[in-house]
Amino acid sequence: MSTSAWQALAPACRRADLSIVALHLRYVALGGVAPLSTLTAHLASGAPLSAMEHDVAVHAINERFLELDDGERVPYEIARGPR
Amino acid sequence: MEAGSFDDEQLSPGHRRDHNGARAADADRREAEADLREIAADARERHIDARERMLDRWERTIAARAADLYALDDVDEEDREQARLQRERDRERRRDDADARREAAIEREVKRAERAARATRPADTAAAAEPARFARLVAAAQTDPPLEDVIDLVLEVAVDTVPGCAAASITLEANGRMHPAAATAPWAADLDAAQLEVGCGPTAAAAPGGIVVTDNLVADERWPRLAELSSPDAARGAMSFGLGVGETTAGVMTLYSNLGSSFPDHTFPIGDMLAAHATVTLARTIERLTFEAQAEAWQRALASRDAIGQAKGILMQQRATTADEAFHVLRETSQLLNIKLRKVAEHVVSERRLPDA
Repeated sequence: MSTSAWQALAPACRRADLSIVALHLRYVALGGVAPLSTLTAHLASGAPLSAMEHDVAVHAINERFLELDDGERVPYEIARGPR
Repeated sequence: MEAGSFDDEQLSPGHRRDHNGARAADADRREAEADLREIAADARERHIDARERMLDRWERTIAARAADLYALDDVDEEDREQARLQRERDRERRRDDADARREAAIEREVKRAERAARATRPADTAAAAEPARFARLVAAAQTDPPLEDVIDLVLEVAVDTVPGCAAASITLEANGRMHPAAATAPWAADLDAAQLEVGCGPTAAAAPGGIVVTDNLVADERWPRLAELSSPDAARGAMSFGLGVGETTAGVMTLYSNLGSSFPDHTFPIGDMLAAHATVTLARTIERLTFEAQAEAWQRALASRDAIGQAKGILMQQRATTADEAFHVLRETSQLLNIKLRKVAEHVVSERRLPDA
């Protein structure tokens, strides 16, 4: 995972008015498997989280921006080309 | 004067009344603390119940999927069933304990109200706090009524039981700010709002568990800005009680006296006791509503997870690919169409294909 990827999450959550507990609930709803403590540590200090699980958390934040009609989006870790 | 420090026989009637009042106040505080400990115990047990119900659902889901894959044998199924039955027996035991705690709480409330009734002066007997009125508050908490009904009941009991109380109001905390929630008279709600707007006055100043009293809202030197209130209803006394648990403010209950008058000293303990009752009742109701909202949110999350899991399975089969790859397809479709991933998944489950751009 890129060194700055996890650092973008906490500020994005603040801008999206998303608490860590609310983020975890949305993350679980999308299929995420990490417990709250792991997700919290990942956002706070970059504790290990697979790129796949990181992107699930990113998508949870981006869906919150979508609800707020905010054009901001957090970039995904796993970059993909056209399908 | 400290409770128990003098022989009652040596006290004058007035001092004896104050002495008994202090002992009653100490008993009220101890019982209010016991009530708050029970609220915390109830909340802990609700969380344990919710977690175990979720564990049961997860186990049933896992068992169903394992059975589909013929990966479950009879021994595994029996072990899981035994564990589930044990959790159910534990939940029943916790429910019995909670019922016993609630019965003890009701008994404490009735005794507290009886002490308050004995503490009032004979001339105020007709307007003194009656145990049945306070027991209504406790009974309300046991039947889980809507929050607005609980607030209305608290204010109704306040006007009925506090001598000289013309109106009562409650402001509640939401998102770090206090907002007028209810009042027995429109002018009382207006006075609350005016104090919150200028940031001063008993309603704005009451801390959790504290009481702020004034003989005249517009003539109190502590809050000169309130003198600017032009409302003809403002020239009256008020006493505000902070409703909170620990250092957290849940709200403020304000009692307003008749126009041109103030509350006599002997009404303070009645209002204080009513605030303690209100704190317990509101805390239980808010806790219950918060728990119900959280439980509903988790149910929706599990339903969403299930739909996404099914959609991934369909895409894995159609494209002969991995679960991670299937999730990325769903995620990219969600980004492209600017719709939530759950909606994309639901479309895949019902139509067996991705939604069109």
